[in-house]
Amino acid sequence: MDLDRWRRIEETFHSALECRQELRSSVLAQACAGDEALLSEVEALLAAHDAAGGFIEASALEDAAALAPKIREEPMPGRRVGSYKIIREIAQGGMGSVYLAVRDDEQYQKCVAIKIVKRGMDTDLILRQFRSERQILASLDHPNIGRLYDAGTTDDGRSYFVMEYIEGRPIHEHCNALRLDIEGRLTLFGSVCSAVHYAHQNLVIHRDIKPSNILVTAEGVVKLLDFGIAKLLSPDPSEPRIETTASALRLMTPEYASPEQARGDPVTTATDVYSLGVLLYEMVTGHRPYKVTSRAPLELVRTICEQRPEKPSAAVTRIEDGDGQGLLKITPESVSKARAADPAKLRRRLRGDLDNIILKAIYKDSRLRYTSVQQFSEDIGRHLAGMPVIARSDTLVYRSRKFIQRHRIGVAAAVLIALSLVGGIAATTWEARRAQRRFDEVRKLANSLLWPLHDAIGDLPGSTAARQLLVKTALEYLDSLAREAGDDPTLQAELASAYERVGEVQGGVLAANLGNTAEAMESYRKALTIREALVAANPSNQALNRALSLSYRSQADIRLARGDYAGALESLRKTLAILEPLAAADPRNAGLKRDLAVTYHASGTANIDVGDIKLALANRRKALTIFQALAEAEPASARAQRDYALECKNLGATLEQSGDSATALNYYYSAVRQDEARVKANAHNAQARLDLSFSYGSVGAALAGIGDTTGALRNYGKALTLREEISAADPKDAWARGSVAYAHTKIGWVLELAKDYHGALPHYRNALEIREELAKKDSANVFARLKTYEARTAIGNLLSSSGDPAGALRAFQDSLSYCQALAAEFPSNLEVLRINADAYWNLGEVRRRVAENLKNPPDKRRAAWREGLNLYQRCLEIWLQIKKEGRLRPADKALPGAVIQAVNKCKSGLSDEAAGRF
Amino acid sequence: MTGIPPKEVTRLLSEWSSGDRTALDRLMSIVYRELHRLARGYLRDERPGHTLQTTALVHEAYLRLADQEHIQWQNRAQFFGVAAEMMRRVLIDHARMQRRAKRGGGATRVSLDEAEGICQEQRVDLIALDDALKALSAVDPRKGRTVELRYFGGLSVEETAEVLQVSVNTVVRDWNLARAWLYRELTRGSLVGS
Repeated sequence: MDLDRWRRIEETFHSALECRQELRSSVLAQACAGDEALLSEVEALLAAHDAAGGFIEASALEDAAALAPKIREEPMPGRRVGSYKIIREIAQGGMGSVYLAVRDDEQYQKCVAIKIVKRGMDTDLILRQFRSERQILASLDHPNIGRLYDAGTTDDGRSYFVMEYIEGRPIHEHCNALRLDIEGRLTLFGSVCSAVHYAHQNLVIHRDIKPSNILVTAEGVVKLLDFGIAKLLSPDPSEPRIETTASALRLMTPEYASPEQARGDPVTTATDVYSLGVLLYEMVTGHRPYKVTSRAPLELVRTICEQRPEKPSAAVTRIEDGDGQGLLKITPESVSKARAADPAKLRRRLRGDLDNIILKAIYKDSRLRYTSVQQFSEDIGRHLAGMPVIARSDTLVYRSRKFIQRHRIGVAAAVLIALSLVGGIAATTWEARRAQRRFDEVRKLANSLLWPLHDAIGDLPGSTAARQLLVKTALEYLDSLAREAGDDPTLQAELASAYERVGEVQGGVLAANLGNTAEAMESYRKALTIREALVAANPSNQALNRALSLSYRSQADIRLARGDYAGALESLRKTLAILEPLAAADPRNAGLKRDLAVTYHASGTANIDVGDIKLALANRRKALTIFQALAEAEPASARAQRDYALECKNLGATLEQSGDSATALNYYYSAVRQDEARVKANAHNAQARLDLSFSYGSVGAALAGIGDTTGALRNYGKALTLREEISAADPKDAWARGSVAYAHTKIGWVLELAKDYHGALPHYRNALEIREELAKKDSANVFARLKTYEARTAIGNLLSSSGDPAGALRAFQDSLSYCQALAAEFPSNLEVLRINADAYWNLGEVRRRVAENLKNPPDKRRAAWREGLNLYQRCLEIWLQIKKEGRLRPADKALPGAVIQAVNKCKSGLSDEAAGRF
Repeated sequence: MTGIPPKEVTRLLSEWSSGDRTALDRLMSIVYRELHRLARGYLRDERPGHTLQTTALVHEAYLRLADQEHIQWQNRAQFFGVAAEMMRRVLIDHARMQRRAKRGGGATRVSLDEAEGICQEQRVDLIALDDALKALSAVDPRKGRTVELRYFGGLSVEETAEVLQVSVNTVVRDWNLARAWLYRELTRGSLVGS
């Protein structure tokens, strides 16, 4: 056929077809204009069009299926299935048909229901699965659950299930027939929940809760059928994605399928909560939450996952036309009549609590649903008892999620998300048997969410409340896990680590913490209890022993931070009591040795804190011996080399404290030699260069201490040069930049000691400049701000010493206003309080010097005493506050007394002045 | 399960749309296998009288094969285009096999009742239809494709318009003419009763 011809045929065909029937022949005649062949061709096509009827309108698949030979089914009634005889069909459904059958090989006739699964299911698989689940399914013994007795294969290869025969009618029919009011329906629904909850406790999910599976007997007893069958019928348990497809949806009633089922996501107890919600929706409103208009899988998935359900109180006003066949028209009147109410009354009855309860159960996001069937059922109970319900029309979590979608991420909202995830985990996990899985999830949550989130917001101002909430939640989960974890050592060890992590966040000495050392102690105590039990059960297990020792050491750290020095030393003793024999038994274990050295070092620090320098020196020496051995054994280990050099400086500092500057200097020189070797070994090792600069600094400080100003300046000069190089190489490194400031401060200090005030001032100014720049860059960092204060004060002190009281006054006043601003921002920070006290003290001192200078006129001196008194009193108030709060450091113990003396001095100065004694 | 990761299909679709013909070959073989597997289940196991929906089958193949989150709408249309063609092959292969089985004799006896049933339902001879469709496509490929998409692929008029990038009205007109033409071709040799 040629194309032009075909186009003409086409054109004519359409113009004839699209005009009115009675005009067709004249249109055709006109169009063909004497072309007889065309006319007859188009007429034939039009005739074919009219005669074609349903030709190829149905699907090709159907036409293809008709080609396959069909096996004519023998009617089931009368046939034997296993040892049962089929009596009659009871029901037909998506999975197959249910028959009434009797057992006829025994004297008594027992009625059962037999569900015969339709063809197309892999029967072998179903049976295999049934056998593995049989014990659980057969053991479901609950008054509201229909028993499942057996499963097998019919002669023609179809699976069947033998179940308790229950005479009753579907729950909806029952409710409507009895015209149960809302209370009656809710009560009946409670029985359904109790059955489902019981099954969940036995690790069985129903997966196919719908009215036809819930019968009510003549006595009014609810019976749930088909428990676990949906799972057995899901084609292949090892390939969960199979459920994503239409096959899964085909099995169930789409109106009751949850979004996760529609998507093919894992099915959990939350799935049953959802289906129960849909059931309750229908029981109270007479309508389903949404209309499934298409059975095409793609549309179904979309409807189930996206369409928002109407509030039940609004749904009852809906009118649904019947289909003229089985379905009756549904009106507000018919619905409320069946519920012994009128439309207005029914709407009022549902509005509020019931709307909220039902919508909470059928959230698309399973994490927003009730966490368990029990919770769902309890909320209904609360509603019936007139108590406030959990369900809110717009839960906080829901709202915050929306908020985040709109505004990216806010701190508090981020925390709420984290919490809602925790909630989701609770909802989607099983009980006892799944403790391991739940544990893994909580661990994963903690590692991937809680802690990173905590660390991420740790520096943000105002995040404390949010972080507290995070920690509180983490603790609650840990506590509940601790109850469930049983005696599995791995889980227990994991738990202990988690408690330690919580403790660290609550009040640990590392990084940002909540400053709540009392709670931190409690968490560490929980960790210790677990670890002690683990060691008691496995006394010779090195790893468990070592972990216990480290837990004691963490406890020591937190006790030190709390100022509980005796307690800290006790914890350190316990640490050593474990580590010493461990290390002795395994002399080649460098890790154990290092633990031991670090613990000796920490013990030395605690000794210094309680003023026991002698013991401190002994511990430092023990630490040094081990660090030295480790460094010699592992010349290539950068850490071992560094540890040794650092401990030399630590011992040196302790020796200086004991008054032995000469020996201290030797250790400092030793540190310098080691660090120089480290730098020589790797010129690019910035850490080693920085360490070396600090070693020069230590030597410089020690030389300054014995009056060798030149030597001190030479060493500090080397330190400064090194640090400037390091900082120039990486200008963003705040720590390196800060160390430059520190070198300037130290040089200023050496010059000030040598009374070279003129030379000292530029170095102090340099230091202040750098400190201010750093504090500006990182204004949330209290530490950086405190350093700025120190630099300001150093200038004030210098001016004061150099005989420039006016300059000192200006500098100190400047310091004070800086402190006050800081105090407003960080009101409870101990360091901030201390520098505030210090700032008042410094100003008081300037005034006192004016007052004591007899060259000054009496008015000026009197005013200075008065002002001094006022300043010292402010200073005293702060120290008394710190003392009252129990936060006074041992090193600060003498300070409040000194301030009281200063106050008294001002008072007596004032009274002397008044008495005119001068 | 197909063992084909959903992303693979999505990737092939986008490679194909950027001009890679080998991607189409690979895609077709994946889709053919999947449809074949699905169709076999339907054809073998469904009980008589149960309505079979090609739409459901093709959509199911789509849900299984395509990576829902990353697939573009154009890719979805492309997919259905490919699926319809593959469905045609699956069903024609099936029809050929059935014909061979019947000629083989004895293996499957068709009862009188059954033969009567088939006659009453006036089923389409798929192989004859396939041949006629080839002839139609030779003259007017778009009409051939319209039939393929609607009848073999189970696509709606709207979906067909989407795949062919034409208006809904054009699809309706093409369909009317193609159907009339095919019907005449098939009844000419009395392949379909009446």
